[in-house]
Parts: sequence; structure tokens; C-alpha cells
Amino acid sequence: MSTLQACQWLNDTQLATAIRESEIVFPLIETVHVLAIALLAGTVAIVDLRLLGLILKRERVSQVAGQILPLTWVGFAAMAGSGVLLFLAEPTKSYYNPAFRFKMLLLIVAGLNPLIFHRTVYRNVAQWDEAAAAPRRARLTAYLSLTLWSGIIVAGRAIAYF
Amino acid sequence: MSLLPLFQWAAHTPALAVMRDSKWGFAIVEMVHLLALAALGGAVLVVDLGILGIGFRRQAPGRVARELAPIFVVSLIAMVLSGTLLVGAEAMKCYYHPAFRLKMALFAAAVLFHFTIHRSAIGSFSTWSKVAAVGSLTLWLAVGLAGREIGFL
Repeated sequence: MSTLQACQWLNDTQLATAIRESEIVFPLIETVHVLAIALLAGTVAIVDLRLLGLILKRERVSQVAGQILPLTWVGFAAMAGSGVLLFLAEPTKSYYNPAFRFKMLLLIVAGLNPLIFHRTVYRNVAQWDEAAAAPRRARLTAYLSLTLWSGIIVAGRAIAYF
Repeated sequence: MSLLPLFQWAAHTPALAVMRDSKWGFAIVEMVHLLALAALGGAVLVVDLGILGIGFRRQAPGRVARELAPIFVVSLIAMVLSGTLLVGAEAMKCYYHPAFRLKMALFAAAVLFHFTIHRSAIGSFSTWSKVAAVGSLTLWLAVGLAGREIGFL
């Protein structure tokens, strides 16, 4: 079964039809999605700005990241959950939507970014934990992350315009 | 004094024609509004949830709030500017829209609350500061919900 066929099959399920046709459910899920973005992107941005040495300079990087990470995960779970439901409401339309495709691509890269970060530069965090600004590679990760998440929000909003 | 003339002016001024007539003019400003919302919402959530014992528990809440104040202020300014342009694009629709009026009232309350009660209450993890944190979360959430509601009707 191709991706398109899977989308078409999803499109015709009862759940998809119910979300699509309800006047309240779709906007409600949308609202949860936007709130989750504030929690996810907002907390990610705070860690990024700490790495860049712009805020919370006197707090250890590991303390900032460690305390904020659970919030980021909650935001991620809420965003992914509501996002899947929004996709479910219009799978075929999303499949052909260029903004949606671009957003998914950005999401994959935005997911890989911290994965690589945690397996490389962040392993030596003890050496630069108290420094105002993190080493160059960590700062690069932070810039990349800020750019990617901004792109995801912009692309997400653009979905409605295609 | 009624604000109606101001909204009527906005609805007809050539200065806002780009916002009214171009799909992408509106879309881009909306994206800026959303980006600022993520930053503002993130800062509010991290400070207030920290006071409630979720997230930043080891730092004094007042200090976290001070450190995040630049994010809050910059995104607040970005939201007001982009929001003003969005209203300019649909001035008359907004003027008569109950959700818009509600949002403006809630927004004024949220900003006022933030710079007065909230600011003075969050110096510690006291019960009073927890009340202020819940109040702040409720107000900002209500602003967001009312804002979403403008998109309907």
C-alpha cells in the first residue's frame, strides 16, 4: 500500500470523518496544538538562548536543560497527539499540501538535531556547564534549533493557505 | 469617546491596503503573531509552572522571571505590533466581533496583572505567589482562546 493509499484509507475512517465534520472538535484540537507549540517551542527556545549565553547565564546549562526537559516532553506529547488528530481529519489534503510536506521534513531535522547534540557536544557538558556561552558547536546547534522551530511554526500556519 | 472612527479609518486607509488585499501580507503577519505567541507563551508557562513546582524548582521564581523578562517583553511588543496590523486588515469585522472585544479586555487585564500583582507576588514559592501564577496562566490562556475565537464567525 502506498502512502497516498494509506492516506485515502485513513480519510474514510469513522474517526477522520467525525473530526472533519464536527464544528467544535477540529478547532478545539487546533487550539490544543497551538498551546502545545508554545510549551514545546518556548521551552526549546529557552534552552537554546541559554546555550547562546543570552539568558540565565549564571545557571548551569545542565540545570536549565534538565529542569526544562520534562516540560518540553509534555509539550511534544501534546503537540504530536493533537497533530496526529489534525492530520487524521484531512490526510489526503495534507498529503498533497506542500507546506505540510515541508513541515514534516523540518520536524525530522528538528528531531535529529538534539539527538546528535546529546551524543556529541553535550557529553562534555561538565567542562562548560558554568560558562556563560556554550562552545561553538553547541551554539550552532542552538541557532539551528531556533531556525528549525521557527520554520516549523511558519510552515504549520502556511498549511491553511494551500 | 467611541473607538469606532479609528476602526473606520483603519478599514479605509491606503496604508493598510496590503494587509486587506494580499493573502500573503496577512499570512506573513499572522505567522509573526504566532511565532511571538510561542515565545510569550513559553516564557509565561516556564515562569508560572516553576512557581507551581513544575520545571524550574531550584531557582528563585523572581530570578527566573527577571531572566526571561526580555523574551516576554520582546514577544509582547511583537504580538502587539503584528496584532495591530491584523486588526487593521479586518477592522470593521473586529470592531463588532464579541470575541475580539473580549480578547482586548482580557489582554489588558493580563498585561496589567503581569506588571503589578504578578511581578510583586512571585518573589518566592509562597501560597500567594502560587495564586498569582494560576491567575496569570488563566488570564493568558483566556486571551489565547478568545483570540482563536476571532477566527470563527
